[in-house]
Amino acid sequence: MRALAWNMLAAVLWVLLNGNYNLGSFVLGFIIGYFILLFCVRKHPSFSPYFYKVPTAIHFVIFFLYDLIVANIKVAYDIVTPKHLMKPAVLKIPLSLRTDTQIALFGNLITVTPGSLTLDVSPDKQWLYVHVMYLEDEEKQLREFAALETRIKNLVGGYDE
Amino acid sequence: MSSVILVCYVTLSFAMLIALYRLIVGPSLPDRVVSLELIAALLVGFIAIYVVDTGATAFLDVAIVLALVSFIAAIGMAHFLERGGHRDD
Amino acid sequence: MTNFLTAFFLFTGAALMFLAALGLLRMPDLLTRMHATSKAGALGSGLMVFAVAAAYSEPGITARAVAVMVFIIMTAPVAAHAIARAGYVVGIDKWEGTIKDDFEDEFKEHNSE
Repeated sequence: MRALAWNMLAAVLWVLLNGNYNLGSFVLGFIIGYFILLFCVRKHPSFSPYFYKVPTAIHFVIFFLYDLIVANIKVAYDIVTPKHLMKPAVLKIPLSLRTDTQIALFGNLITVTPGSLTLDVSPDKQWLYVHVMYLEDEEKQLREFAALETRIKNLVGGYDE
Repeated sequence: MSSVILVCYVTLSFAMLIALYRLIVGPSLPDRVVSLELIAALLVGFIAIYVVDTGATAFLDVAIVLALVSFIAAIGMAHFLERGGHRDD
Repeated sequence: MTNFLTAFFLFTGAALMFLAALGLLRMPDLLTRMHATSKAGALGSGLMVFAVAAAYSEPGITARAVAVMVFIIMTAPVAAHAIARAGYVVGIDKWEGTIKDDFEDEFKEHNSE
């Protein structure tokens, strides 16, 4: 978290010195700040996990956007054509994430991904109830959710524990 | 550019009509809450087009407040429904 | 370039919102309707506000537009969760094509306690 704050500070400094107060120059400042930090404090213990987390985050965003577009097209096709192809179901999926932040992030990501919608978390935080629109194979769907969980664990694990 | 803006206005108007239909017909109360939420999102979209169209950027503040109010309304309505218990409508 | 980006985002957003409204009209029950509004609706209005940020490169406007966008995309799942839960408490009819429902049993247990 500290490394991210330093990187943000570098980006804000870049924007202030540059004089172009817009989003593009902030992103540019962030990228430059990342490489400066990578060059200077790569070996520092509280900074080193940050450097592989940024590529993980970018990979996560790209994977997520791809998923978003593909699933949106699928849902759009179903909406426009007269016959409903969907097989909706409410699944109960086991949670391996433990902290509240991670569960909240996981639930929100499931909702934003088209084709699935978080309904509730069980009070003991062991299960998540998810409404899915296209249930072809329950085992496969559960594996996909588990893969998303591992991605979240890699991304935010260690920060909020 | 102006033709794109016109097309967006027309598309959003049709979307608004459909959402209004669901608001009036909607078989149950939660359906109506969902359509109200969509109407708020559509209004935010209208404001965005209007800002691009006329350059009256002060309306962005209205969009912030609208997004906030629609969220709070949805949460409040859900809470109200949960306290009411089972109902047939 | 800025003009093209603005037009692209505005048009994509408007199309997504229209799709969300169409989904609201066409889907058979509450849960599937919420699929349409919570994703396509939120993403559509987010994209349209982002078009404003792309059109004006002034710091105040960009900051406000990004604030609206983040707010819409962060609150849509929470609102969907609250309404879905309320729908189960109220007792909505589900589409006959629904394959299985694990959540229903949970609510029956709760109500009988």
